[in-house]
Amino acid sequence: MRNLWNLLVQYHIALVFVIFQGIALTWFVGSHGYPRGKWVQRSLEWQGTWDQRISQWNRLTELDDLNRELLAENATLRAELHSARGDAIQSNYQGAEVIRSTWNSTSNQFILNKGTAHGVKPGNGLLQNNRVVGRVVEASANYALALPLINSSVEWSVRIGHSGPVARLVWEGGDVTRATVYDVPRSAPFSAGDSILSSGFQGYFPAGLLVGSVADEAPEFDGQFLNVPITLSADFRAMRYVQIAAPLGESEINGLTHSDSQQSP
Amino acid sequence: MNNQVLTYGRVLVPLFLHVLFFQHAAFASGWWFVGLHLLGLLLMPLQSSPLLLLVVAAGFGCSVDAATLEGGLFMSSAVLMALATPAVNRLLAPREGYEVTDQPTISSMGVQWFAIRCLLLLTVHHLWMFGLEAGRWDLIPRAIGKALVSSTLSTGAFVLVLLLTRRQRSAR
Repeated sequence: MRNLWNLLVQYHIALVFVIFQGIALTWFVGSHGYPRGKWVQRSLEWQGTWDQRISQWNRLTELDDLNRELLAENATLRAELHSARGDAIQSNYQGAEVIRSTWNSTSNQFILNKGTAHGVKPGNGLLQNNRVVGRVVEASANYALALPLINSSVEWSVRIGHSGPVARLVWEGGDVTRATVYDVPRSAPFSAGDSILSSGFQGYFPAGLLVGSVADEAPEFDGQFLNVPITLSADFRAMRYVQIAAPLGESEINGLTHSDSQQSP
Repeated sequence: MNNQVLTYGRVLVPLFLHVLFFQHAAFASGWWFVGLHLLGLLLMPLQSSPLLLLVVAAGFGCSVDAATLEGGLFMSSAVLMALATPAVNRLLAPREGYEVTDQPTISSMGVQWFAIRCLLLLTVHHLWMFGLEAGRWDLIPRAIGKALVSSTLSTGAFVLVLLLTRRQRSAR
């Protein structure tokens, strides 16, 4: 016992280092790429308030007010458009300002100035001028944390063209204008410049919204499938205002899938 | 007493500035990350015990992680840098060792000593941070490049900051 104590005293620096690294790496692995939970909500609230103040100091007020009005009007019009088209997934839209964003790491994120008090919930989609941007993963009362397409830990369901196959979109880090669509059948007809659209299957966005276009590069063969390089439509480096899409009937759909999973053996 | 206040200020002010204003300060498409809080850690007194360095580094990293929602990334890197600090201090020690009054600043130890120490410690920090953040083996070469570029540019910036603040002080 005494020897053990002596050993601990002798190597206490290494021990403290291992303990701190253990805490840090557990925190990192547990939250990275998908930060959720109480600490995120508290930090969001504090950081959101601070970022909002900084943003206000820098703001050109007249232009900004005009932008806000246009954003709200766009959101209303978009909701009416989707309703008139009879889209399968109807959504409510509201404008929000991106008060903080990163685009130079592999786990990029946005903070928006709307939260649960404005009806924003995890799972809501983000759009910029009808282009898919990302989705909300955490919300406090007044702010929301969103992951953009350019976050390497998230996959997105997309479709090639209006009637093409559904595949997985993954951003692999590096260039924020490029991503790859995986699991495209070799028989699928497409060519450079074809649109990549949201499939609507994940429930974050309506189907048919622009995600990007097929890049002018040869796809990579992967067995019976192709990995297709694409160019993303949204400009993530100049993201200031977005629309938050809240799918209608979400609770009803969740209720259905929940009851289905309960009945299955 | 005044010296103590100055030491604490020198260590804490960069952390506050980083958390409040520069938490996402990155230039050249993310190739230059400015970790201003690291300047605070670099300015910890030379006589600080390794244990104190680890505890302060963990606290600094934890604060930056909580503010940037990075979940442990900065804490892990800062703690590694703190572990390396005594070894780097020994490596760069003058032949007769450090004086009790020596401080890890340009005014006390000179530009060359500060720049080399800063470069070595920032490289350790940035290699670990960018490596962890990359998360995939194929992004490691890019992470190493980012770490080396960031360390070099940040060293230049920190030297400049210390030279400028030294000049202001002597002007009074």
